[in-house]
Amino acid sequence: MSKVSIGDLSQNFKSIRQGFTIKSDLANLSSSLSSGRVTDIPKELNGQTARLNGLNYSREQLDVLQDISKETMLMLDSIQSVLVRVDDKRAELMSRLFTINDSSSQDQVALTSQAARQALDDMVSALNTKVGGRALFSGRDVNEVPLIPASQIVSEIVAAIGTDQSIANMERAIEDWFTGASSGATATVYRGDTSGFMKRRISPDKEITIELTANSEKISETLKQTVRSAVLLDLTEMTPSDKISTIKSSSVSLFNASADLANTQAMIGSLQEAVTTAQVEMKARDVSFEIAVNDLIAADPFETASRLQSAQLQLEKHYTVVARMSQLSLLRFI
Amino acid sequence: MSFSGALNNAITGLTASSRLAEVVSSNLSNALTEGYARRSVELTPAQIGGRGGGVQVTGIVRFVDPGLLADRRLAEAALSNDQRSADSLSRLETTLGGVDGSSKLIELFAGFERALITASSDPASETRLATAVTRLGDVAAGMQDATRSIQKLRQEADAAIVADIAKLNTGLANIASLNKDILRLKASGSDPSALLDMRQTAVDEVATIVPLREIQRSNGTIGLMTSTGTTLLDGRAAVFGFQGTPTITADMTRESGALSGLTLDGRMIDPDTGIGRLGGGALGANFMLRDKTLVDAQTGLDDLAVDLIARFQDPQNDPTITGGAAGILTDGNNPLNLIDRVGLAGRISLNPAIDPLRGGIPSRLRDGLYAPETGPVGDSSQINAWVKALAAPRPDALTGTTQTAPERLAAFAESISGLRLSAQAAVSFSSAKWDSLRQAELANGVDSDFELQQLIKVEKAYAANARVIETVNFMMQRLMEI
Repeated sequence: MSKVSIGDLSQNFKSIRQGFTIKSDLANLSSSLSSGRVTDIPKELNGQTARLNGLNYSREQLDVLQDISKETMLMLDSIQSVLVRVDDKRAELMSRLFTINDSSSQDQVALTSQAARQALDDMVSALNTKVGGRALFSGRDVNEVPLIPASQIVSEIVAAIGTDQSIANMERAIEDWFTGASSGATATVYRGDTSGFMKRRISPDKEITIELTANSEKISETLKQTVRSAVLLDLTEMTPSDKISTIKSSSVSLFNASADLANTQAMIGSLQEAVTTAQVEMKARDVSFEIAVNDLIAADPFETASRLQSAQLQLEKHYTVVARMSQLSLLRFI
Repeated sequence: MSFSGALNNAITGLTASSRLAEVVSSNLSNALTEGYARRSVELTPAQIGGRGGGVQVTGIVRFVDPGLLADRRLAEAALSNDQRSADSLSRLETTLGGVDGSSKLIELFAGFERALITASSDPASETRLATAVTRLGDVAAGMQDATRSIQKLRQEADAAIVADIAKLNTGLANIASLNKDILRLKASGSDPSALLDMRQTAVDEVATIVPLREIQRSNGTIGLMTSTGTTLLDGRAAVFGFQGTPTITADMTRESGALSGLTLDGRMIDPDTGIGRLGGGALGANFMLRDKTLVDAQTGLDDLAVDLIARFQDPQNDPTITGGAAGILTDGNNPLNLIDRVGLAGRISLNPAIDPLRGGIPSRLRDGLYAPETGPVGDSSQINAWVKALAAPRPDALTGTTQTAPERLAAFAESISGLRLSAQAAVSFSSAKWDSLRQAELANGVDSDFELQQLIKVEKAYAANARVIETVNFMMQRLMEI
């Protein structure tokens, strides 16, 4: 190192490097302040970005699950409202059937049977409801309606009863057409999925199964009892006393069926509750993940602003020094 | 009489002063020249016959601190090494990166999982199934893009080696010819300072490519040797050779013979490393990138591809995939072959049976890839099985660590960021070292205040000598008037 002189370029070099350092700090801080995030995230996290990425991924998952839980909720709400309608029709029909007693006339029986047909029609169309083009009671065959039309049910069962219009044969025919139990009966009332139920994911670790179709015993029982009264209109050979006793036993069975339908509604209700709970839980998780992410990468605006200010002052001081130093030359004095 | 002696002394004084002024002006005019070493004049009293004969200029001294120069050159080599690595890795991180510290692959994968879960909510919707399959195709395309980026960087490193070797060869040839010129000038007694400056600059340029040591010979020429012992220049310049490879794919490595190493005077330097003992500068960095760092990055990506293809091929996730058949993600339409893993990420693609763009049926996502017929359209069990498959920890092909698919992706992104961060840390360290050495070196340069003061001295000395001549002249004239 020379002891008598210091090269000009040395001072120049130093001030250029210093200016560069201050200006790049300034650029980083201002972009950090504008975006609210630190500029170089891996550097901020010391290269450990896996945790941040895990949090972001979980948040994405929770987001989409929250979206689809709304769809699931809509489906469950629709199922619930159908069940309510079916139950209403059942109760209506039941009170209508109670009016028939041993002294009722054939006309009254005929009118009651007519009412039963109407009720069957309402129930079947309710159960055939589609939401968004998807059937609710067909299990996984969501593109098919679960039940054949009410008039077809009645006509096919009447045809199956045929000439032997005893109560026993009527029961058998109805049973066959609902369960396909008898030999040769290939078509049943229910056209939907018989081997599985709809499943829906409601949270990252929970799935629900909607164990309900139009073929479920709790629903088909109500339908059967309605059909028993509905077919009587076309059974001209059946004795009036048989018809009256059929109606009376149907009305009692319909009364008993209310408990079943209530249980079904409760089952759907508990599924609805599970979805709501899952939604709340996911929202809470999402919020806590968001807080964790912000803790990791958000730039504190106050700290950033004060650092920006001091960098700005630093640069101004640097410029002043550079200007002053450039004037210090022997040339000015000679 | 001693009049002529006095006159003679005064004239030597005038010559010396004007020579000094010349050197001062040379220094001042080169005050901004990098690589210019400050000159000064060596003066000694002259001796003629047993008496003093005035002053003589014995030489021009170039002020250079050889220790500082050597240190600065080594620091500069280290800096260009670290800088080259950091630049390349920064670019890699940017091409593979995403928003907020994540990576593009993670974003694409999250998009796929989103579409998959949405499809599970309405499995009868052909649109949702097609979207899910398309998103998975995007993931595969993303991995192919990443492979292309990595291989492109390898190509750039290879091209940089070609450029470096060309620069090295011309530089060494240049220095050898400058050596000859300097020898000639010194032998004829002239001042070779300008050529010495040029030679110093030429060595500086070569010093960024390989770290070197300069060896001063007694006749004014220099020899050059790398800091680890390979001779670069010793009378004759060494000639290095390198065969560039313009297109590089993942399976091409130096070990496989597809990429070349350096040759010295026609002979392969080192078949094991390709670079021998020429590492440590920009050349070393390029070799490291091409043969190690980027190859490792590609291996990490390939391991990711193995994991994904295996997940989508596992009969436990889809029972219809039997007998080792290809799954939803394939190795170029074929099933996974663990032996042929290099470059797998460049070949990963959707199975054509499910890819709607190639006549496939997206609803196979719901029914099972090889299911003979479609099942119930509202059945979400297979889709849910795929969702679970992504979140199932699965052992790595190499080390056996178990991770879920998103964890693997995050680990890969972390490794790339980690590489970039450590390269940048190395740069800031070597940059600081180089800064201080360069500053110290520049402090030995021309100081214009000092030169101006010298000029004042020279002015005075010239005036004094001229005065002497005037006085002697007067004395002689007075004598003549007798």
